[in-house]
Amino acid sequence: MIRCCGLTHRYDQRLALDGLDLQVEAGEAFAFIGPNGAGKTTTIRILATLLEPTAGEAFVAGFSTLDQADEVRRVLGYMPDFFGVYDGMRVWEYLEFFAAAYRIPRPDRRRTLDDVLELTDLGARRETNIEHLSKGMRQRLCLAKTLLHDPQVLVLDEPASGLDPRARIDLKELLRELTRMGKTLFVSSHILPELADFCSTVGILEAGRLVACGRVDEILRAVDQGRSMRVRVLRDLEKAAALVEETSGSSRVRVQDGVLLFQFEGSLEDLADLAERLADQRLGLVEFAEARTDLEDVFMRVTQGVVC
Amino acid sequence: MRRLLDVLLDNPILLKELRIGLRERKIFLIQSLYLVVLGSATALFLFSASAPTDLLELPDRGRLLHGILFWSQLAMVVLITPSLTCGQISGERENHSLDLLRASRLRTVEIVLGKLGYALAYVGLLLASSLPMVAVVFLLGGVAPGEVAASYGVLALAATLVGLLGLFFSAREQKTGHATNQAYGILILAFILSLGALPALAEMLSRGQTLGTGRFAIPLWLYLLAHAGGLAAFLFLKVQNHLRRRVAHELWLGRLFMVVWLINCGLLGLVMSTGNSWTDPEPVAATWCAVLTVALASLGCFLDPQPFAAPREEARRRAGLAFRPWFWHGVLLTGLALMAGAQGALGAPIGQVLSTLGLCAGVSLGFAVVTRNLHILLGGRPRFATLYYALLPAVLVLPTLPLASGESARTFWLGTQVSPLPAVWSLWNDMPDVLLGGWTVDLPMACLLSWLGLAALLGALRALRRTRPAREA
Repeated sequence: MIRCCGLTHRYDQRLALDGLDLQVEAGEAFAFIGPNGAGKTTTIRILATLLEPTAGEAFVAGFSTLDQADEVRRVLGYMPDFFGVYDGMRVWEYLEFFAAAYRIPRPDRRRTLDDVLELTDLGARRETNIEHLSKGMRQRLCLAKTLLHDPQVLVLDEPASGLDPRARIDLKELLRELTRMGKTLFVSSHILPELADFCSTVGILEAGRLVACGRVDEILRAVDQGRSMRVRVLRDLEKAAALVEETSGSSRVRVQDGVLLFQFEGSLEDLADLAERLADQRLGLVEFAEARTDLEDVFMRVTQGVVC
Repeated sequence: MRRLLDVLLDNPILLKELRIGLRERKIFLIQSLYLVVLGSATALFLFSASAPTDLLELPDRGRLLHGILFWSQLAMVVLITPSLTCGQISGERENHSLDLLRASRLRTVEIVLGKLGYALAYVGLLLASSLPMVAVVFLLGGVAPGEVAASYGVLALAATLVGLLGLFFSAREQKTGHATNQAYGILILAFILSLGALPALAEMLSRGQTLGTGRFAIPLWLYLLAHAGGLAAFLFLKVQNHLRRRVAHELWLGRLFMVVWLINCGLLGLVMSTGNSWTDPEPVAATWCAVLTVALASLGCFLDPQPFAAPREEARRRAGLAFRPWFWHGVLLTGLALMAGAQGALGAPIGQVLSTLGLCAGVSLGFAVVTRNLHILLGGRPRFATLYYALLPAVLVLPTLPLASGESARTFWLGTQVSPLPAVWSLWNDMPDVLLGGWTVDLPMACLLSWLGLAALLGALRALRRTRPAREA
C-alpha cells in the first residue's frame, strides 16, 4: 500500500533521507520510529505530497506522490505533528470545510460528518466552538478531519504528542478500531510502548536510513541471535551470574534492578540444564524465564543515537 | 465556464474565510470607520459650502464632491485591502494549518481565489455601503451614472491589485509581520514617488487620452487596464507557485511576459512614430508600462527563482524553452525589432531606426546580464529579491517624474538606468550631454556605456569568484 524506492531528500547541504526503501502492506499498522532528526517527518511529508524527494520515488496505493499527487491525496489521510485549527469556527463547521476540501458531495456531507463525529466520540461537541476544546479533543478533531474522505491509508505524525494518559489511551483505542476497520496505518511516535500495542510491524530510521524493518520479534531475533533470559534469585546474585557466565551459549550477562539478564544461544535442553544447575546451588531461584522484549528494547539495541 | 463558477462560488476557502472573518470585531470597526470618514467628508462638503448663487454652480459642486469621495475611497481601499490579505497565507503557515490545506484535494487556484475573494467581498461590502453617500452627487448633478460606475470599477480594480500584492507577500514570507511591512512599504513608496504623476494620469484618463493618433489610436485606459491585468496575472501565478510548485505556472509566467513585452514594443513603435515630444504624456505613460514589463520579466526569470527539489521537475523546468536565457534575449530582441519595424514602416529614417535598435539591444542585454550576475554574486539569496521588490516602485515610477517636474535631464538619465527604453526618446530630442569622468558624451551613449560597463564589471567579479579555490569544509 505504501512503497518508497530509494527515497532521498536534502535540505540545502543536510541529508535528511538517504535512499529509504520501505514497503507497507495493505491493512498493516506500521510503526515508524527513530530518534529526533532521523527523517521521519520528512518521509511523512513526502508521502503526503507536501515535499518533493531529491531522488527516488514514493507510491501510495500504487499512485506516485510526484506524478499523481491528487490521486494520492484522495486515498491518503494525513495528520501532522503540529497542526492548527481555526479558532473562530464550530466543530461541525471545521469538518464541513474539510469535507468540501476533500470533494465529498454536498448531499453526503451531513452523514459523513455524523459518522466521523461518532467514531471519534465528538458527537456531543458538534456545536462547540473550537477554541473551547481541550488539546485531546483537538487531536480527535484533527483525526476526524483526516477520516472524512474515508482514506485507505492513514499517515499520522506523532498523534499522541502532548496528550495526557487518558487521552492517549482513548486515542490508542481509536487507532486500534481503525486497524480493525482495515485501514493501513503509518504512525510515527516517540511513545513506543503504545505503538507496540497496535502496530504489527515496525521500521526504525536513523540518520535518514532504515536500520531495521519487520515484526518486532523478527527484528529482535535478527539483532540478538538468541533468547533474552531473566533470572531472579533470593540469595547471592553474583554467584548466579558467575554460573551463567560459565555456561556456553550465554552472553551479555548483566544485573539490572536485582534481576539477572542474559542472552542465550544454546538449545532448549541446554537451557533446562542451566536451570537445574541454578536450582541445585540453592540460591533461592524464584524466576527463570524468557524476558519479554518490547519496542523500546528493540529501538535501543538497533539505534546508536546518530543524527544526520 | 461552469468549472470557473464552481471555483468562485462553491469555494470552501471563501466560505471558511467569510465565516471566520466576518465574525471578527475588527471587521465591524473598519466598516464603521470607513463610513464615518466618507460621511464626514460629505457632510463637511455640504455644510461648509455657501449657498449657490446660481443653479449652474451645482454640477461643478457635484463633480467636486464625486472627486473627493472617489479619492477618499481609493485611499481607504488601498490601505484596507492589504490588511485583509497580508496574513491570509502566512497566517495559515503560522497557525500550522497550511499543510492541512495543501494535503487536501483543494487546487492552488481555489486557495488563492478563495483568499482573494474574501478580501474583495469585504471591500465590495464597503463600497456598497458607500452608495447612499455617493448618491448625493446625483442631487447636485454634473456626474453621469456611467462615470460613477466607472469610478467603482477603478476602485474594484485597485482593490484586486493591492489585494494580490498583499497575498503575494503573504505567500512569500513566513511571518505575517514581514509580509505586512513589505506590502505597505511598497505601497507607500509607490505613492510618494507617483505623487506628481498620479494627477496627470488621472487628468489624461478623464479627457479620454489616446496613445498614438489616427487609426493606431489606443485609449490610454485600455492600455493601462491591460497592463494592470498583466500585473495581476503575474502576482496570481506567483502566489500559486509559492503554495505548490508547478512547471506549468512557470511556463504561464514566461508566456505572459513574452506576450506583454511584444505587444508593448509594437505599441511603443506606433506611439513613437507619431513624432510626439517625449515630454508629452503618451510616451511617458507608455514608457511606464514598458518599464513595468522589463522589471517584472527580470524579476520573474532571474531574481526570484524557485528551483524544484525533485531533479526530474528541475530538469523539466530547465529544459523548457521559456527558461533558457538565450530565448529571453531573443524575445527581447524580437520585440525591439518589431518596434523598429513599425517605425520604419511609418517613415522614420533608417539611420534613426538602426541606432534605436542598437541602443535598445545593447542596453537590454546589459540589463539582463547585470541582473543575472548580481543574482549569482549575491548567492541567489531571497533577501536580494526582497530588495528588488522594494525597489520596484521606484523602477516603475521614476521615468514618470519629469511629467510633474518639467523636463529634467538628471531625472531622465536616472530613469534610463533602470530601463533602456526612456533612452530611445532622447534620440528624437536633443537631450543635454552628460559629463562622465571628464568626458562629455551624449545621453544615450552614456546610458549604453554605463550598462555595458556595469555588466563587464560584474562579469569579471563572477569570473574571479569562479577561479577562487574552494574553501575547505
